[in-house]
Amino acid sequence: MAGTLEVRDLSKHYRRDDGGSVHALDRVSLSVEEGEFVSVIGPSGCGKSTLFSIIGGLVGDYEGEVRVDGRTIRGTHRDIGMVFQEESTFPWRTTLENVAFPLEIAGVSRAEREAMALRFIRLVGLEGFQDRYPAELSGGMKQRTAIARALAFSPKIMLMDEPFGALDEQTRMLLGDKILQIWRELKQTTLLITHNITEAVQLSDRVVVMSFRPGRIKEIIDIDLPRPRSSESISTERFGRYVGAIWQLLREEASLGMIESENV
Amino acid sequence: MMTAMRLRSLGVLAVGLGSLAALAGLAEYSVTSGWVSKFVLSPPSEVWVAAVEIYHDEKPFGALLSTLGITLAAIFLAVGFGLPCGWALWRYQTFGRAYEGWLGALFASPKLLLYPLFLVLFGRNLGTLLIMGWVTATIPIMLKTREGLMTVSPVLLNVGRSFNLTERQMLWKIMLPSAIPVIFTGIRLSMIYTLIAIVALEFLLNFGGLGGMVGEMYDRYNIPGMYAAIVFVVLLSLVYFRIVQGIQTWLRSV
Ligand SMILES: Nc1ncnc2c1ncn2[C@@H]1O[C@H](COP(=O)(O)OP(=O)(O)OP(=O)(O)O)[C@@H](O)[C@H]1O
Ligand SMILES: [Mg+2]
Repeated sequence: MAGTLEVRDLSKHYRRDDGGSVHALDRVSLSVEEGEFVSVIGPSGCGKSTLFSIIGGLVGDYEGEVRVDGRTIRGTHRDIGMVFQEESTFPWRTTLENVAFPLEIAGVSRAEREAMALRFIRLVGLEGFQDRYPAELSGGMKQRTAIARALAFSPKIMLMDEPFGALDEQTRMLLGDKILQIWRELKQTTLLITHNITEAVQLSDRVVVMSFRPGRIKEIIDIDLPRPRSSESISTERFGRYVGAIWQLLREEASLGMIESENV
Repeated sequence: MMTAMRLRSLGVLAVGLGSLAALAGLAEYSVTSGWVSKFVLSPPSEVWVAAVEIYHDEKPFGALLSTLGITLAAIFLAVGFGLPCGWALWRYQTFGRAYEGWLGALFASPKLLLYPLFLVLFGRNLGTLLIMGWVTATIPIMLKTREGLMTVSPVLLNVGRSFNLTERQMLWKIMLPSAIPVIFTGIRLSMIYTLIAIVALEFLLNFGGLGGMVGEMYDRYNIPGMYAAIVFVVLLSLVYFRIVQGIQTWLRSV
């Protein structure tokens, strides 16, 4: 089914209203192989969402290129599905209608799209909630709805921008298990943006560590832990070593971010 | 759970009706005890008798239907015109920014004072009522449609873009549904102002409808009758809010 993602020498400057500019990304290059799970981790404001939006084709005006299966793309792409950092379900649609949305746009008949949507609702563990509106769901359930909706688009590549960023630690770990289970089943190429070290180690084949602004790639770490993994792997010693190593790399970057935000 | 909810809404209804009854009692007492003159306030019991009388003699349904019909027609016209205009004000931002202030000022101004002009232009007929109602109703719908479209959450737009929606699909599948609550606020506002405008015109021109009925009762010094006619206006506006609420709920399911 292919679905390799490649980013080459990506740089991005945002123009600010006051005439200045923000150097958000600096020559970022990375590749995600077919079926691979890669996480990008970095301090707040290092350009993670910018990277996500550029790959997804929502932000233009950058240097470098984004390639899918070897071909350079500009703008949104049929093979890329996106899950956003912010709450993004449609409040006027039920869970079922939310998940069926991309199928509705593709012109799939009602009966067929509802059957397909139900499959994804089951996959993210929301069976029984298909007729609820987002206002009646918890934050974690809303994010799972958004994930199911992106899956229903059947992309070869899944991009997720801190999908659990706003959730509490326990919910986050359980949802991590869910993500792993879905990924085992669908084998999609996945790029996950996160600022949570445990989450990155628990889920990924490789972890890309970014520096503080301008966002550069500081190091890429292979996570050589046996699969299938789950939130229980966290207690092993090897897991702890990976977490420690990534924290070492992130520490100074994070403190740079903190100093800057205190000086504002 | 269902029964708990039903109980709660029954409770709300009871509190509402209870306070209404208390107010009526207070009014009744203040007139019968002589605090307030009978020429200022009619005791609710007399208003009730007058309402029954009107119901038998004056056939209030004609008046009710006439006011209801004109107001609804004016609002339908206003939605048909105001929605696309609001969309255009959103789509062509320069116009939107240029007109927003003017429209806001126009919205706040008493357009009713223009009625002599409209009388000259269209004559003393339904057309004048309809056009005054339409002018009154269009402005809030235009403004609120623009506001609703402007305030759609950017992340929802990004979701649409990530699914490669066309501009048309963006409008129909994301922007409009998302703007519906704000647009309906506009429709409710326009209902209030249009009903006021039309009843007032009926009263001023003595042109039938509920406003005409209030005027007639007033001219005949039938104070309880006048209050009864006003109660009919209030009932009409209740009917209205029901209708709009119904439409909004129905829109959600399609
Ligand atoms: N549209 C924009 N215009 C100007 N500056 C922007 C814009 N979007 C982002 N930035 C700036 O670019 C930098 C990177 O932002 P980005 O949202 O990509 O960071 P992030 O790593 O996703 O942060 P977080 O962890 O808080 O989500 C920040 O300094 C931000 O202020
Ligand atoms: Mg971000």
